[in-house]
Amino acid sequence: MNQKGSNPSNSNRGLAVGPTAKGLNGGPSRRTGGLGTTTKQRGTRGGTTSNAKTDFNIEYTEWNGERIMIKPKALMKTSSHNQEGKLDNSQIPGGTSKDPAATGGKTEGAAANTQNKDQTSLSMQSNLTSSLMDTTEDEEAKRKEEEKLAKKQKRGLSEKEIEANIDIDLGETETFELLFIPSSSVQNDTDEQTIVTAENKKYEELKTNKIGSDSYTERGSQTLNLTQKPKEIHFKGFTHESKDIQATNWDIDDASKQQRLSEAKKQQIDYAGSITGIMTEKLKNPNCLIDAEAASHISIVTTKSDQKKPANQSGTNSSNSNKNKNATSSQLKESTNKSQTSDKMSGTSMSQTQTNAITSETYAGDFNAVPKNVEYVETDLPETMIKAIKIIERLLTQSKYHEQHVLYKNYPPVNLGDKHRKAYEDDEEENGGKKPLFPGIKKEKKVEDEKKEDELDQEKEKEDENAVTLKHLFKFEFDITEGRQVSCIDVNEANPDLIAVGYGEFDIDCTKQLKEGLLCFWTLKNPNFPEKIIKTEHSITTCQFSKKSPHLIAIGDSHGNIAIFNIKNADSKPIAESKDLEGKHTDIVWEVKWVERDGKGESLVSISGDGRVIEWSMKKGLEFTELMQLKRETNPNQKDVFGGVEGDKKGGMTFINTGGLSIDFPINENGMNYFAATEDCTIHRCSVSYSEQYLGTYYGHTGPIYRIRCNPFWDSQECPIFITCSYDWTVRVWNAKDDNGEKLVCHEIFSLKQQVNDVVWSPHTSSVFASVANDGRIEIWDLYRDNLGPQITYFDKNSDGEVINIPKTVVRFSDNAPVVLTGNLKGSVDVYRVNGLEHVQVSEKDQINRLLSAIQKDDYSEQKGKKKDEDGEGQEGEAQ
Amino acid sequence: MQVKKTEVDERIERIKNHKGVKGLLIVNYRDDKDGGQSQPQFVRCTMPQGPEATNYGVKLASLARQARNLVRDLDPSNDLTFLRITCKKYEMMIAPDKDYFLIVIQCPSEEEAQ
Repeated sequence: MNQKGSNPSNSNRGLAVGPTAKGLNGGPSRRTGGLGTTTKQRGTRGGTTSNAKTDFNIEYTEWNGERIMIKPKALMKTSSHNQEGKLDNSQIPGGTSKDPAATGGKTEGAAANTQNKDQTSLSMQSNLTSSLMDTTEDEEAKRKEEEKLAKKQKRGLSEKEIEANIDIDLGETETFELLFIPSSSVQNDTDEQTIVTAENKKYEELKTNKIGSDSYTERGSQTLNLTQKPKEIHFKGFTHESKDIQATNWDIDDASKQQRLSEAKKQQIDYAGSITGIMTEKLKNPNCLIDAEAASHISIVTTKSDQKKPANQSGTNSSNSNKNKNATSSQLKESTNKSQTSDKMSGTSMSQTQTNAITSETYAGDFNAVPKNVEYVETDLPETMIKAIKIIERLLTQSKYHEQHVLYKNYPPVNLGDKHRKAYEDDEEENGGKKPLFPGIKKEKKVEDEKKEDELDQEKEKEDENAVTLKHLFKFEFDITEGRQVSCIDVNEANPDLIAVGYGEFDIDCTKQLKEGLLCFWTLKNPNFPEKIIKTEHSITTCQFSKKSPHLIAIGDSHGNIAIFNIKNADSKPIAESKDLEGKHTDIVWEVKWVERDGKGESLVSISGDGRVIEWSMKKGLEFTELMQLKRETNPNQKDVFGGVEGDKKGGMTFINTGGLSIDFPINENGMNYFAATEDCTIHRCSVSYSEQYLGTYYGHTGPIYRIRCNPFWDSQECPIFITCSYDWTVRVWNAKDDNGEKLVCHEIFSLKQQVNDVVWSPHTSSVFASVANDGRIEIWDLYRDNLGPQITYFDKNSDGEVINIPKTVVRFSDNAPVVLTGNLKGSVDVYRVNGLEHVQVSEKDQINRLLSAIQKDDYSEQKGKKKDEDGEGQEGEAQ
Repeated sequence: MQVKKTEVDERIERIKNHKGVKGLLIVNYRDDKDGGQSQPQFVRCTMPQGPEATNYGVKLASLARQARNLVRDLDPSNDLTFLRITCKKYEMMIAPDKDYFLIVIQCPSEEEAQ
């Protein structure tokens, strides 16, 4: 008896939306759930289903889904939709439509949804039997009925039929949801609740506002559902392959560091690759008309990365890479015949097939199993291997020269390897040799011997603690340098292991036979082969690393040229050369020096046999300014020598240039003053700003002065000491400040009967210097300890213990190691470890004092007197 | 095919003639991840080809590979410079390159005799 005739204004058309979706009766409303919750309203219409909406004024008795007896009245046309898709035109003109079987009394029977709007009020007098049951059992019966009805329709309705009772069955359709949006609930007294209530409020307002507002209109829309057609396809399924990959930590790291190619780059590479692909294809064809030379150009343009791939990669990539290699190694200008390229490519393809034939049987991850057949491949090794090769070379030399390196670097020696080796050797001897008769004794003997040796050594050490000894460490030499003369050595300041050695002729008379010069860069780590070799046109006479930019080195050669090299460059071309400059030196450049000046940066000063001192600057190319012309000065003490020339001797003399052999700038004077040593036995003190006159001249030597060096602890007021060595077999120490520069302190060596080629101060101790002479000796002096004789006079000894008298030409101290380097006329550079020189760690002031006291120490005359008595030889009388 | 010796070859010659060097091997030993050859290939070998050389090459290369993995696992920015194994009779030095391993076997006792 309950018809839900609820007609909400907006029918839901059977949609069940909202919390009260189920059930005609609405069911338990979920809107008001438990305690204290508020629900969000979500477009719920709040309506309940209206399954059965009828406007019939029908009398019906029961409604349980069963047949309802009514009194049909006027027949009306109704169209009712069965939502489940079955149309049922209940246009039944009365008649006996009773079909008890048709209606089974089901609760879920046929739907009787009628649209509200379409519905027209029916007069209930009609004999309507809308048998709306849709059960499967009834289908047959229904069909029969339909046939009947059809027949009847033709005939029309008879009176009887109109009067007949029509059964109408009403049932409830199955409810199904099309859309279900559950509401969410929020706890009271929370922040969210305030938000939610606000939103709800807003929504309510919207709803009320919407009704009459102009902003909202209702409109219908139509959706098109395209008809679908099933189609069969055949699918094989995916093939599976399993692959193992190991992603190690560093692998991931590597991948993340890989530079991502931009899209454009990728395209470029692909493009280039495709070009080469096409070209190779075309060239294979012997009828191809493409000029192969042009083809080689193109292949060169392709990415260089191809070149570096090892050739045993299969695929066109490697054929391209080989082609690239061949194309670039044969120079650009070379014409490559078509047949040539095709041969090369067929050659490479053959080698590829070779490499692709992998014959090894086990994979070598298994330590125990060794592959029986390992492939031997001859491929080109990539250039990147040089690094690894260098490492190996150094390793080899390291194992060989380990001891020497340790001495060089002044590490405390560690004898791990030796102990074991000794032990092994002992064992070997015992087992390998014949069984000695008295093994016990023999062993003891050995031990005794060793002990004795130790004792001797210890004694020696005690004796020699204060004595300076030199121990030969190694030689820098190899094939190419043999036969040449070492003319200069310089140690790099930034990398003290790097030594530059210039080779060339050393004698002054060498200008006749000129050999090419050689500049080699040696490193301590490999005495067998230089790191870098630069060949120059003429023999090198001097070289020096720049202090400010240690990668630059300046050399002077026997032709008067100056060149500056950058050792970081791979090629051996100088970055600046004075070859083509007018006004360059016209004679051998004897020395170059880098000088740093405030504001002017570092510039290069050179002195040469043509008597000019030139300053070079690199600011705009290579420019030079002449600093000085060295002119002959008469020695006031030797006026008689030139007695032959009458008249304006002095005037005449000043026009004659004398060759300058050495130049030095004292450290703390900002590069303003310098000393130049000349061929005519004089030393001039000059200033950069005066190019006409000398500031002072020092006389005393009787032969051309080969080297002048200012003390590294130079102080212009207190310690203006410099040292010179010369052809006259002497080494002299001078005080620049002595009145008129005439006084000097000289030290002469009497056993030395040969010219002294080089002299150098020790960078650590102010009173120590070393000199080398033409008879192959090295002498180390310490003026503080003894200013009359050298601490040590050392001669090279060959394997028989005999003294070798190869003239030594250069000597250097090393800055960071207690080591002395000398170069000799045979082209080898020897490195000696110096023991016994106290490395005095004192302040500069103390160093200066040390030197000064050394020079002024004992009364020189006293010493002189003593010496005279002893040796009976006179000294030259320039002393005080 | 190449007309002139590359610098690499020259240096290898020098190493070969270094005092005490018993043999030199260059092994191409790429990782399996490349999906191809896990078998080693000897690119240069100065020792007589045979099981001895094979032993040296393969085993040393795989050991060096392990060492390299170790170093890099500990710190991916690090890399193995060389691996040196000193034993009683000789010394083995392995320097890895991107794709290759250079192996040199040196007998220092021979050197000392010289």
